[in-house]
Amino acid sequence: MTWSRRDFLRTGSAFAAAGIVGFDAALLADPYEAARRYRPFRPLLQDPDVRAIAGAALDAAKAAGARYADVRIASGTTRTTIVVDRQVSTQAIEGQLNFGVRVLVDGAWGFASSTIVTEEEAARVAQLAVRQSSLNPWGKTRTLELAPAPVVPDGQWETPIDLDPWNYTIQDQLELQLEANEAIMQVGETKALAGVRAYSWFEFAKADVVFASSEGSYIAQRFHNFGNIYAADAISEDRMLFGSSSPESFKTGGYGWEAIDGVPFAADAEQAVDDAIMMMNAKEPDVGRYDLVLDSSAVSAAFNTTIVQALEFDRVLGYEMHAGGTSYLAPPEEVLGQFSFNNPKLNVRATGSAPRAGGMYKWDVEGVAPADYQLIREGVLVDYFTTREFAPQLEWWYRRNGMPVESRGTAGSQASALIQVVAPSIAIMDPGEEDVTVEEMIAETEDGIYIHRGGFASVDPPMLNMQFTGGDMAHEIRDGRLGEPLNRPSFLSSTPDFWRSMDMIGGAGSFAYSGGGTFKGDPFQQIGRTVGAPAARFREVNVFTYGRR
Amino acid sequence: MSDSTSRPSAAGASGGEVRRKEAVGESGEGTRGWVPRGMSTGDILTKEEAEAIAKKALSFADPSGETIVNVSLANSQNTRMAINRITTQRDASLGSVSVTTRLNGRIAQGITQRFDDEGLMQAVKWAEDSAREGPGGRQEMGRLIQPRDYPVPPGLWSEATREVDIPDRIHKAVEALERAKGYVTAGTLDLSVNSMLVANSAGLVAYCRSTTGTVQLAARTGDNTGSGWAGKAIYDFTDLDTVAVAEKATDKAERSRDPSAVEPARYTVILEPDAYAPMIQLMMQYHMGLGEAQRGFSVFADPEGGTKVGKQVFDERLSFVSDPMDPDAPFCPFNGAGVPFDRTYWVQDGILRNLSFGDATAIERGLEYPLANPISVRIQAKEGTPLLTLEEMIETCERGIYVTRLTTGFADFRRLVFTGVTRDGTWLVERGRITRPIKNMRYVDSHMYFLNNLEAIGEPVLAAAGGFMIPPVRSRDFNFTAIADAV
Repeated sequence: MTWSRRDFLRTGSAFAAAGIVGFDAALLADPYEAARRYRPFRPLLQDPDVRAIAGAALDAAKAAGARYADVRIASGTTRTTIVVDRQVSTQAIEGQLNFGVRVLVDGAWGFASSTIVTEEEAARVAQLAVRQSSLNPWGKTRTLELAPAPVVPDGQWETPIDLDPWNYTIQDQLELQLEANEAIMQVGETKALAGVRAYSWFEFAKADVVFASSEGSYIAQRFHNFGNIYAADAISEDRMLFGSSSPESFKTGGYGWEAIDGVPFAADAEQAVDDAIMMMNAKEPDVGRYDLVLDSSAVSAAFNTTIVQALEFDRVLGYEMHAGGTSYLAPPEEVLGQFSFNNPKLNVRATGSAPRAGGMYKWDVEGVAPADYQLIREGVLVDYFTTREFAPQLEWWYRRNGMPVESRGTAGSQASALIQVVAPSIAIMDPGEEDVTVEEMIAETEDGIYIHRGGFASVDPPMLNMQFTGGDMAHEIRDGRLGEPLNRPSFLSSTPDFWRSMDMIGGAGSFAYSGGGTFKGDPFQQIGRTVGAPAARFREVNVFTYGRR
Repeated sequence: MSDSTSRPSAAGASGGEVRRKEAVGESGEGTRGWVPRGMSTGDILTKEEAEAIAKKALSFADPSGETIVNVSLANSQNTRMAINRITTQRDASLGSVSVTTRLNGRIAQGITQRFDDEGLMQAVKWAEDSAREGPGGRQEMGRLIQPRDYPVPPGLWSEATREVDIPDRIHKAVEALERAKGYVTAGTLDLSVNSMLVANSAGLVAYCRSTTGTVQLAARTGDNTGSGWAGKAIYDFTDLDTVAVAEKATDKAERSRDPSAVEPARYTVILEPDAYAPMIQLMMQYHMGLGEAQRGFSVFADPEGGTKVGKQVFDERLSFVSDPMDPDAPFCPFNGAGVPFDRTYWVQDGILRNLSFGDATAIERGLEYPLANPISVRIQAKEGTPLLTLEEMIETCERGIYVTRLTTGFADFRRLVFTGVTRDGTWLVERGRITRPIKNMRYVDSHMYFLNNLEAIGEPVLAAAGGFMIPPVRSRDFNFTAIADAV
């Protein structure tokens, strides 16, 4: 992968001097001209000055008494464009440049960060972090030994993408969005509606992050990500009913320009408007017990909120009691190998490598490669998402089962200016061995509901009681066939009951990746990660509706 | 400010006292591009420092366009508590410069975290390139805010908060943890010292600095059946009474031990302010725009067409007012473009009076300024309304449920209906007293409903997350839909 063509042409060999650059006197003499000749954002992957800044932080931390220290330096650019109907509402390019230093002193953590990326500031910030931990009388009541991790002295990795979005301009991006919105508006305006709205939000992000630790790791990664919302909204003529549909025209996750290039969105737009109107007019489901068929995106939504997040070991221990919540998969000594969803069809694993998955990385924010491993085997809990801090607490279980006592490589953070927390890698619910399709599940269901295109699971703090609300679309199932559309059916269940009731599971053909992620921490962090799941059927679930009062 | 002034020379612990106002970059002789020479680190920007950065950015801008520059630097401190320990801490210095260009009939933005010339040039260039070459129809440009003065809200700035050092906040956290001994606790103590300056090519310079903070603590009984929570927002560190917060949280935990279930149904509820403050915040954030309401997409769209401005939307005793000079919840008196936040009634005596709008509407209406939404709001009762304390609400309640806190998610975004569960202390009230703790329940409801079913209202207090002055209320027919049997 090359740095963008445009950047390359403009800067040439300036890269080598990118860390701390002397001013061009001629430019300063004519700032107006200087502004015309800006430099691109600093690529950190090979930057000797960034190495010096990282070294300054680590040296200062060690000199001040830290037993362990790591520093993350991040340089990124994000290009955000929002078009509402036919109007550009936002076009922004944002550069990030910041770093965070984490230190361990006598078993207590310290963390500090800054947006001034210099050697002097790195030293100041590292000393600040050390002061926090040395002054913390209530941080050292435990012994904190980090699980050993291989030193990676020269790690380099980049999210694989096909077309570098930074070879395209913000104008290219907006033109595409204006066309996509126009497609929705044109269809929408032919319908009998009080209002139609086309909304698109595109965001390309590129971030270089250097991780360096006092143990000698030095890792540079470049992450690419594309996020988007593309939606058609419809308001009924009496302005009482509302429908929305988000076509999946554009891919989200580890993509470059190929996510939006050559996508036939016009046909999707027409369908989206029809879908929005269909859902606008859809009837409420009758309250009762139904068999539910959920497509991959709906299963993923329930899976992420009720299982994946519950497997985060910091929640399990109570570290998130005030913020993200606790977990019903606790305490570890009573549930590992013992807690069962009583469903052998439920198999959950994690991987560091899923093509195109959003949030993918080669080394986590502690410099550990994510493991490919099993967390739930035939319905039984066998492991958690852990970090170097937490893995040693599972030593008794790992030793007993011949598993490695090491971090599973699932540390994450929303930004380098925020401290590391447990964040799942790519969590996968395995599809069934037989290639069961959604159509087959529907055909075998007498009285049920098909919920597709996402959904939203609201859970209580320990993630034990859920209320799931259908996403973009739902249909009745009558005698093995799809019936009338239904307006956002909701269902209530306890988490174990829900997963126990899963009696059919889709095959590989029904498997897909969807948005996931975790929400936790003080200060609050949102860490986006993809999860993967097949379609599935759940028996006799309590369905209700909030009605429209 | 006993904690700060009596502070021992804490710096000794790490050897090098790296304190505020210590300039860096002297060795660079102006050749190092990252930090403007002489700028201090580890502190906020003074007006002069911020103005110098903004002026520099403006000097790089194309004079044929209009430019708005927003410079901010915040220093945040955090002490995080969990399982009766201080688990992590954070000191963060976060700077940002945003350049908004109005050029060629278009608006575009470039944002950087760098304060040096190169970073500023880059942000200007990003914005101008986008605006210059951008596709699409011309946008509503609006007018730049002309040079003017803004009031300085009393109480928004506290030297005591600015002076807080690591040992001060650790001391406050430890006090809370000690008071909560015997319980399982988790919580957070956050402080933020902020500086913000807006300048534009019409000559406007507006500076605001503020200090904010919050402490929040959840406590559980050892048997894991009782849970309590309390929180408090402050501007001035000397007002931060973490012991009182810990007392309240542990008292609630103790009293909510061994709950029993009640049938899910519609109940009269007594809601503490923090129980529904997030609903008010989400409404202020997403539903106060005039345009969205006119087009039918917000909760304030009128089914008859147009908006609900002029119609009753809440109980006639209630008003929603934003005022940067609010003595209990002040905020900076202008937004990122310099648009003033003047005292605004969004809802007056239950009637929707205003929705926010941009400059196109302001010009159309012959107004000097757009109506900007600061998000912060006070809900207050009409003069003469008897204000009840929470205790009085209980004493005068025949049967109801007392709620400390709710989790809040959207059940229906457009109708502003929420779902979530009760947590950290829920009790049954019968014949004027609390009779027993009850198991948590799921709800599906909205302040759009329960602020119309009002039985009693109290004195507004600053919500624990800050920014909102919210009264406790007692309302009829709150919709509990299921038991959520977990702590």
